[in-house]
Amino acid sequence: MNKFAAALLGLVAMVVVASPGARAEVTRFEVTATTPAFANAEFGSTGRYERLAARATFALDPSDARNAGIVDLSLAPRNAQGRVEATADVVVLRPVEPLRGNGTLFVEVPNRGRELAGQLFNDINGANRLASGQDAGNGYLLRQGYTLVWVGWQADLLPNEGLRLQAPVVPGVTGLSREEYLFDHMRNPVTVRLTYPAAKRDDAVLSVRAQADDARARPADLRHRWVDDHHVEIFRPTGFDAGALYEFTYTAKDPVVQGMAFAAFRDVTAYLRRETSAANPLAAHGRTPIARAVLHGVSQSGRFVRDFLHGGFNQDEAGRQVFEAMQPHIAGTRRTFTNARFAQPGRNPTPHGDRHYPADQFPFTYATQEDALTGRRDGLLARCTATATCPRIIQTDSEYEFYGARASLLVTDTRGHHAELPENVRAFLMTGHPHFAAPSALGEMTERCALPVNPLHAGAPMRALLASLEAWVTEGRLPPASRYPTRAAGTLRPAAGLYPAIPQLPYRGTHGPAQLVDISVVPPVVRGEYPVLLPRVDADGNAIGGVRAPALEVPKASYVGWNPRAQGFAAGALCYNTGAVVAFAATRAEREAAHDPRPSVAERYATPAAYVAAVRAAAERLVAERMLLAEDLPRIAAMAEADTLARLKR
Amino acid sequence: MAMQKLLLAILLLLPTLSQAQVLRFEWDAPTVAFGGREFPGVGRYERVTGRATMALDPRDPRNAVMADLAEAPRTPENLVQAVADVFILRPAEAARGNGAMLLEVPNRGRKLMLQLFADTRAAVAEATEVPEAAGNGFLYQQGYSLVWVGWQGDIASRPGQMALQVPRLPGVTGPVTHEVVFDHLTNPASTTLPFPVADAASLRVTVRARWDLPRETPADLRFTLQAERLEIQRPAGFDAGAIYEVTYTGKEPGVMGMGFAAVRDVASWLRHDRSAQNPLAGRIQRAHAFGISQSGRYLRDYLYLGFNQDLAGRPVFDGVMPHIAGARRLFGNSRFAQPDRAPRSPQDVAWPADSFPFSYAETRDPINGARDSLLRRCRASATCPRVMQTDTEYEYWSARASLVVTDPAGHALALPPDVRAYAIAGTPHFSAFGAETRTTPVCALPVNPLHAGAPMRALLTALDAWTRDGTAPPASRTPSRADGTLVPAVGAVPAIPGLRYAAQHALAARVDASQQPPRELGRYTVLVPRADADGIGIGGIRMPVLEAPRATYTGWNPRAEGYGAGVLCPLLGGVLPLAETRAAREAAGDPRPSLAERYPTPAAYVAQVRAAADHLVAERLLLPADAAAMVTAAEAGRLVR
Repeated sequence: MNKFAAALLGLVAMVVVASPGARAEVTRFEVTATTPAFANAEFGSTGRYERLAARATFALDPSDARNAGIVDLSLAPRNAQGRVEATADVVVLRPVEPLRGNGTLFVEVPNRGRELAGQLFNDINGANRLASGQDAGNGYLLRQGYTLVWVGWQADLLPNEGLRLQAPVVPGVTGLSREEYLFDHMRNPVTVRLTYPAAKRDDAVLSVRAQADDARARPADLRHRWVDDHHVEIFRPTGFDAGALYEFTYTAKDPVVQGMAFAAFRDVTAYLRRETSAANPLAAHGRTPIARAVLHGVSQSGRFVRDFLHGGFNQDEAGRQVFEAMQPHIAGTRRTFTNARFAQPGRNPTPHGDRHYPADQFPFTYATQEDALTGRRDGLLARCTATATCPRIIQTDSEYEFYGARASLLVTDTRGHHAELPENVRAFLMTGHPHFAAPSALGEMTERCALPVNPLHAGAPMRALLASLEAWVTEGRLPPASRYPTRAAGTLRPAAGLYPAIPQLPYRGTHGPAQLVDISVVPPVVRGEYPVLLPRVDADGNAIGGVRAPALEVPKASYVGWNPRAQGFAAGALCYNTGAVVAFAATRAEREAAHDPRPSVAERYATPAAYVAAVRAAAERLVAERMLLAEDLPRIAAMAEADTLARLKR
Repeated sequence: MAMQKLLLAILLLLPTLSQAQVLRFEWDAPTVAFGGREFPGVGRYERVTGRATMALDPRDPRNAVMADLAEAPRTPENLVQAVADVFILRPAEAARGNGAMLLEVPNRGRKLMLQLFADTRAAVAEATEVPEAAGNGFLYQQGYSLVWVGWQGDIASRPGQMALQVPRLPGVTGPVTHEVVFDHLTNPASTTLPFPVADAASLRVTVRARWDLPRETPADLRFTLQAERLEIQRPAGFDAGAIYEVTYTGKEPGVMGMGFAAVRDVASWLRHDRSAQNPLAGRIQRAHAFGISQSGRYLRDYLYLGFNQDLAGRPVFDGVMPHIAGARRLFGNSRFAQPDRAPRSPQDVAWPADSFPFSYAETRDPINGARDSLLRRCRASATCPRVMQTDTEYEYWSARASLVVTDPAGHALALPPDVRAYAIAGTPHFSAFGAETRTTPVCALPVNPLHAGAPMRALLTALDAWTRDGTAPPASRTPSRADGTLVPAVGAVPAIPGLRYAAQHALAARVDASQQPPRELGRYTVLVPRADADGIGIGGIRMPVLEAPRATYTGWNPRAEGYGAGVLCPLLGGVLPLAETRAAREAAGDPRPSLAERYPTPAAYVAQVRAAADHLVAERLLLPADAAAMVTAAEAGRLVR
């Protein structure tokens, strides 16, 4: 397709109705816009890309056993064929010449409606810039030739909040819904939005607590006022700081069949890779250029990937495997609160807020284990194992997930004993990294955290691991062995005594717990706790296990996965989604004056050239071990030469 | 072997030579083992002493790897013959055995695995007729048939020293190197040369204070030869730990490589021969080979040279377990080989046995570009066994064990799925059961007494299950590059007063040994275990004695002043107890928390031991009985020796 034709196509909204005989359960795939992407830039052997905006309508038979796990599906309104319909926003970035692509469909689960793969893999500063076709960043995913797909799956987003799913409302159902708010400011009053409209207003209960484990308080000066069925104004009491947790429970109505989100990925992906009629925009001449599919998600959407797997959705309605590979990123051992009545998929259990939502319950890891607290046996792979549809998996986490998302349960059992990952699963820790930083981030102070915020960005190792995942599914080449702190390796320890005495690193043992939560009562009750372990650190306070990027291996600072909340912001708890960076002293005299036991920069690196040489050696080793791509070496060396690799605020 | 005690000798000539290379197996009538001690579920054991006469066809390609076999004197059938001492411990009732043969390759003729697996005291380790020799009974309660086969052609056959009688090559002469470290100051001192001297004029003796210093011939260094005994008049200015190197033209080397065929052919015959002449006929469904230190190095070479394929093309062993071999092999299959020997300084890179390849995974030698692995030959013949290599921490410091789990450039290396490697953290090379901390003038630190029996019992159990029903053993557990627990030596251990860490460790090099002195062609990267803040290695199997420490245990121990200071003591580790109280440690400038700070009560200490033992049991690295014994010992204050 030439440039002119592509531009012309973009002006025309194409509507194609899927052929009625198609196996896939997508009944209507409507391309609303086709536009050239990235100003028609060429990406290596792949060439140019184009962007398709579309809407996919799919219809589910509630009597099909493969849909039986979707909560409330059988209660939803049906179409004339007796099926339940939903419509997902879809965005596709594909090579203009499809046969120049690599044959892999890279499906990203949007995070609260947003594309994040560009920030992660293409070093783009911000969300949605890749999927919008505006900013290719370093072009990595495009040079590789991926066909990139995003599918809307959250029904609770507002129209301006990105890619969505329009799922049916379950009529005539009411029930208790629980909202929690963490403001991190002192404005008063505050108007908040309720996920579901109120069925009645008179039984609502509002409480406040300073810390997650405190008793819920209802001081006299804590009040609420209904603005409408979707909004409440909260009047905040004295004596509670910016980081206090507000909980509002009320009787809600109109739950949606949010669990159809899993069918959306299953069915849209199956359709795009296998529907050969012209109704599928990826098909031509009776075939598609897609040979395989990878499911990727970041944070919330990485948790969704784990849920998708656990729910058994990697088998489509025709019994076929949907994704050959999955890459959940920074999910820890959490999942999501999606496939439930009055679901809230945006809930993010952290060390402080959003605890006690059913998004972080057993099972935690891929292999089937026994839940020591309940006797139940389950694993994320249990269902796909039964149907022989398990993908190859590379789970990647930052160090934050050990403090905020009890990542240790990925590699221990529920009693804290070492547990092996199955053969088809690898796990990698981005050592010393925060949850998700921008490529341009520097270690700067924020208002709500006590230490400068950890700026490390995981793009370079993630590119290498994606390349390994691709080689695993295309050639069967085994990826590098897992690189994750484990009890077996001696690199996973209890919190007590974890850090050496470094006055600049005031770690007090705080971390997000793993709790068995009884959600049959409101508010939920904690019935038990699982052991959570943390990465062992070296004398600098940098973790030993995991993928140690050159910034960690040749350090100018301690990079940690935790950051205490500042005074006035629920001090004593940890900041969510971040970590901290604490620079080394410049000279011996400086560190001795500060009683800092960590050798100073001057003591470590005799000259700037010595530092650069050490960075280069560390990077070359990571390339040899397939933890970095050779193409990233010059950039890393250049950053070391410019002294920007440590990402410190000067 | 002592044949004079025979009650009955059975002499049998096997009917054909088809594939079997054991020509005849002579054995005495079985005698009662362990004083008739009964082992639950298995009953009593019997001792069988025998001699296997083997005959090798030098034209068979499966024998071609043995150096000088074709040059050796032959029988009228055109075969080369050798006689191996064999010793067997078998259940008295065949049906009550477990179907597994566990063959230990003797270390310098000795049976060492009883000390390791059965906690047998060294003093009775060869006295299998007495009840105490059964130790804790572990191997016998399991029902193993235990076999030892003499394989060394450079030692004499005598009681307590099993050997192989190999043919000598008459008229052959060649260069011999012999090394000695006396570790005393007696003067003169003497040493026995490994081969007869062909030309007394060729004798040279040098001395050097450390392996990496130039060889010197001071005027007051003199020597006199009497038969194969060399008396050395030691020069002034060299301490007890100096290295004396003797070079000369020797004669009459033996076909030492037949030591590999001895184990291959005797084990295969014991497994497969169904005649009444075989004391294990019909008993063996699976076979494991085990070797300790020198004989563990033998097993790495046994695999590398392709000896796990018998002459009928079958695999010989299902499981192979080299113990405390590190990345080293054996000087055992070349003209003038010295299988009995190891370098006198473990740091010496020039020892001919310690060459690439080092690992079971294929790697590339960065010095010459060669690609190779210990399993290359058995892969080609599809006869690779399941391999478990077990090392103590000592091998990481003095036997470059890192090269088993990294490539030669020090990069992370994944082992093949049929191989496991385990390191037993904080342990010395080989400690006698019941050893206690002691001091020796040769080493700077008190000597580490930790015994590796408990984890080894769990690992042998896992190996047997792996070969019996495919139960995967625990994942490899060693210090590892990928885990961040295997690092360059500088800074690997924190500065702790009294520990004297100086980053000393064995190096690895490619060496041209055809020159004298050998010439280094290039170095490989050797890494060491990263220690925690207490100075205890992080990676590997950490026993409760390390997880609930009362001392720092190391796999290294510097040589003391006057004993070649500057390098490490061979075979030993060190111990540095923790201070009792905070005040005591602060007075000593010791950064390690004191016992009082770690364990507020005796019960807190026991609880920590118990928790560590529970983890290891759950992870199949400790048997429940051993875990219980450790907790009991902790309660009695006896876990630490």
